[in-house]
Parts: sequence; structure tokens; C-alpha cells
Amino acid sequence: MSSSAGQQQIKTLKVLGEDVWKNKVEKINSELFTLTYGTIVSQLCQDYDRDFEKINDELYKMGYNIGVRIIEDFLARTALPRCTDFNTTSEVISKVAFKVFLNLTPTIANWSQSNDAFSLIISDNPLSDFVELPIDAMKSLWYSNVYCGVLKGALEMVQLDCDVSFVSDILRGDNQTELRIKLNKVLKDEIPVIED
Amino acid sequence: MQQQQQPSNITRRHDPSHPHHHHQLTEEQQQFQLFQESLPKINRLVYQMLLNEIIPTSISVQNRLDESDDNSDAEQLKKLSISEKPVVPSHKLVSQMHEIKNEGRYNNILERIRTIGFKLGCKIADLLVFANNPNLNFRDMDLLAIMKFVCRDVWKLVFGKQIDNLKTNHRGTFYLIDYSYQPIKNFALNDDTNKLSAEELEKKELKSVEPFLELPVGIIKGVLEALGYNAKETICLATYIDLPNEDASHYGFSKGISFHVQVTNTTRQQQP
Amino acid sequence: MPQYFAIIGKTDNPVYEAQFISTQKKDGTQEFPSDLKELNPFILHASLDIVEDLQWQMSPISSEGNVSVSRGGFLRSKNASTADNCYLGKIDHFYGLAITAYITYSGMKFVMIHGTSTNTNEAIDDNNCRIFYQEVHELYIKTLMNPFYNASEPITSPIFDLRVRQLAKKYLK
Repeated sequence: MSSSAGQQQIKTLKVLGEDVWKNKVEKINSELFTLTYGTIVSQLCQDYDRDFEKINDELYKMGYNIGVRIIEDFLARTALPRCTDFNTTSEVISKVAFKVFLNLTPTIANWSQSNDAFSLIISDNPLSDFVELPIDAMKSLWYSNVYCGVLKGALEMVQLDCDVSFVSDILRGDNQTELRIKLNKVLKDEIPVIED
Repeated sequence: MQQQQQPSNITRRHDPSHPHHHHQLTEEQQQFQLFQESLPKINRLVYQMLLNEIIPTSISVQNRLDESDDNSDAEQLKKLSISEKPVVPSHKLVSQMHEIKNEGRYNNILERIRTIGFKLGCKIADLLVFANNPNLNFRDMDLLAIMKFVCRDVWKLVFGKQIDNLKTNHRGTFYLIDYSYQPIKNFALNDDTNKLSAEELEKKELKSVEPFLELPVGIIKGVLEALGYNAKETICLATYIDLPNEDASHYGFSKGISFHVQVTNTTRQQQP
Repeated sequence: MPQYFAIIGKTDNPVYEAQFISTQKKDGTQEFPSDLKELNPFILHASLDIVEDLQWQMSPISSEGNVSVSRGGFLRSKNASTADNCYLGKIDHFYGLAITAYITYSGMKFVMIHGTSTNTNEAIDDNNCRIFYQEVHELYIKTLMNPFYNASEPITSPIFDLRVRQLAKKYLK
């Protein structure tokens, strides 16, 4: 694994994430967030008649639409410069982005050989509090798929074309919740097309 | 209709049933506050975005359901290509609303949003009741007290601000007025075509924003249901109202919202 | 002594039921006699009317000061005083079987038949009984928060069932 995101830099990011979370963020009880997300998923189950593929897809799209906009706030609040490499990106996602938005710091793990993919291990996922998946959903529903969409959308806005998907989820009986981010390519540095 | 204006500022809990003085909290209240502060938290912005995304998602679901209805033969084909389709941006979906000619479709979308609000309202009420807030005594609440609870506690929780004004005729009719309804606060439509008159543009804007008003409509009905007022006997409608003169100038959405709530059976918890 | 516990919905629909059988061997009869066992749902149903009568005329039971306060559960605040109102205590009896009840604000009824042990006239331990109900209430709220559970449908989650039984073992004798 490359160590270009040096220890010092990681520490700086960690301090930054904590500082923004502590001082620059209006907070609400995460229960409310959990409930609201749960209500949305439950409605989708009803609308799509438990076609979990469609639900995954809808949650992903919902996340994408959040991601492309939430990145603005993120950049404004943290004033972070463009990441120089994917290692740094991973640290920023875990120690700053997740921290600032959800007060979580997922563990970074399983770097690919070519250093273009890594996993986030999410523990204490606020979305999945209270949730018990019914048996028919255990195999096909990615309950927290909104995260994938958010990351996809946000990364795209900073010129990183990535594939983001879940590998495993405690809700499905797996022993950890793992989300994989794979970099496809760095997009050309052009003004992204934002339709108004 | 005889209306009696409530003290216009209900944001202060000065009625005796709600002892709430910041300078002298009881031990119970202090404990409760500490407990609330100790609960896990997230960033409110994330919550706001999630809440707002309910509307375009509901539209997107309708599009997809209609798609499979229209040509179930082509459904398989569509299924294959669906993941390749670019995501339709939320604001595009929302601005579709005013173009929807099919009333059934339009109403389905609004109904879906209301249902989400309703479920959410029920859960929030259950949660707030269970939280044992020493400032709230649900057992002793009458309908007016419950509406005040909606205006202060529920609104504050979900939208980060309280309702600005509550009016009632004391016979089951209430007007909850929010002059800066948070989810749409920063909405302003651009005229892509540059062909619309100011009037047309406003009409389009108001129409696009309408679905955002259905979520709180559902929430209000859900809270009432959870506290013993059957949703079938509750009417709730949202309408635009003009901002008071002194507020009209500041930047933001051009209208206030009035939620008209009518509880036809004001006896709590009718037995079947 | 054995207990029969049920959660009844707003339209008197059954949401959950369980029979708790004491594990203490020395206590004589541990189960409801089989004829009574079948009657349990009917006995409970008959007492629902009483619950409904009590529902909105309850004056808040003054908390007796030392009601064992909560352990700071996930949803629960440090004070349990308002939840005390939900506990109705012993509301009825049927041939020597005491019936206790608890009602949530949304109108869910928790009802329990307390079987007799050989040691007759054994009073119900109100404190423990109340705690049992409150903890089940908390479990019930958590179940409500599960997006895959539709309110008023029967609760089928084995986890819920297991936890309720654990609570019964802990608080009910």
C-alpha cells in the first residue's frame, strides 16, 4: 500500500473533521434520520412490490442527487484543496466527509494491488438502527445503498469517476458492513455540466 | 368563520401547562436535556437533503411505475438498460410536476408523499411520547395542546424551526402558518426559456413547489393519528399565503404556507 | 406462576401473544391448566372493555418516588415518570386469576393474565410488573421503528419474542 497519505496528513485531516463536526455543524438526533430513511425505504418496498433491485436502484439515484449537491457544502466548509492521489481521497472520505456529515469514521481497508480501489468498513451505521430485514430482502436489498449514490455523485463532482457499491452488510447477516469504491478514471478538468 | 387569534408568538412556552423557563430548569428537565444531548447526532444538512429528496424520489417512482404499466412487453428490455440510464437530476424531476397533465399521475405522486409524511408523523409522535420529555404531558393534552405540540416540537424537530403562527376557532379548525417553510426556503425557479412573464413564472414555481407541501400535511395527520385522532376524520390542506409586508422584502421563497387542519371528531381516541 | 401476555391493537386485533412458564421447579403448577389455557385469549378480550374505560379517565398515578428509574435505554430518557401513567395495574380478575394492563398513547393495549401459583393470594409485584411492561413498550417502539414492520400487523420477529421472554424471566415470577 502506498503511504503517500502520510501519517501527518492523516492526522491533520482527522483534526479537521473533528473540528468542523464540533464547531461548524448544526446537529440533530440521528434517530430522526434513521426513522425518515426507514420510512422512505418502506414506501419504496410498497411501491415496487418488494422488487429489491428496483429499490436498490432508487436509493442509489436518491443518493446521487444528494451527493452532487452536498459536495458543495463540504468543500465550502472544509476548504480542502484538490486531492493529489486516491489515498488522500480515501482519508478525506473517511475522516472528514463521514465525520462531518454523520459523525462516523469508517475504517479504510482492502486496498487493491493497483491502488485504485479500497473499502470502507462502516460500523454503527446510523441508517440501520432498528432495522431487521425480512427474509426475502436478505439476499437482494442493499438497505443503505443511498451511501453509494452519495459517494458516486460527490466524487463525480470532483472529477473522479468511480464505481461505488456494497460488498456486505451486517443487516444481511454478514459480519461487517463493507462498501467498495473503485476509481475508473480521473475526468478531464473541465467545468462539470450542471443543468439548471 | 369565527376566529380567535392565539397569542401570535407561540414559540415561547408561557402557558402554565408547559413549564419551561430556561433560567430555572427543574432537575427532571435538566436530566432530560442532558440525555437528549448524549444521544447520537448527525449533521442537520444531511437530514434536510434527505427530507427534500423524498419529493423527486416520489416522482421518479411514479415515472418508473408508469413506464412498466405503459409497455409491460418492453419491460424486460428496459430492465436491462436501466442501470445504464443517467440519473435524472432532482430539480428536473421536480420541474416536471407542473407539466403533468394526467391528474391521476399527479395525485398518485402527492399521495405517495403524503403517505411517507403520515408514516413519519406516526413514528415521530411515538418516539417523542416515549422520550418522556418532562415538558410534555400527553395524557393531559387536548386537541389545542396537541396542535401546539405539532407547531413547536414536531416542526422544530423536523424542519429546524417552529410554526410562526397558530390560529384556531376552538372548534376543531386550526391554521398553522409558516412564513419561511424550511424545505423550500431557497427555492427559485429560473426561466430556462426566457419567454415566461413574471406571472407565468410564479405560477410555474408555485406549482412545482406544491408537492413539497404534502410531506408536512402527511406528518400532521400522522402525529394526530398516533395521538388518538383518526386520520379519516382529519382534513389537512396546504395553501400559499402572502408574507406579511415586513417579511416580503427579504430574499427567499415568495410565499408563506398555511396548513389548514380540521378535525371533524374532536373526541380523542374514538373506540370502534 | 405462569403468565399469558398479549399485545392488542387499536381495533382489538391481536398483535402479539406469549405464554411464560416459570422455570422454577419447586413452585408446583407451572403452566395454566389446559382448559384455562384455551380460554386465556377470551379472558383477555373480556377485560379489554375495562381497559378502554380506564383509557382516558386515568388520573396520573403518582410515581411513588422510588420507582426504579430506567437504565438509560436507547430511546428512553432518565425519567420514567410520564410512562408510569401507562401502567394501569390490576384491572380485573377471573376466578382468582389477576389481570393487569398497560396502555400506550397510541392506544395499543398490553394485557396479562397472571396464573396462580400454589402459594395462593400471592400479590402481584407492581413494581416489577410495571418495569416489565415499560421494557416491552420500549421493545415495541423499536419494532415500530423497523421500516419493515407495518403498525398493527402481528409481530413475527423472533428477536422481539426472545427479548420479551427474557424480560418475563427477569421481572415476572
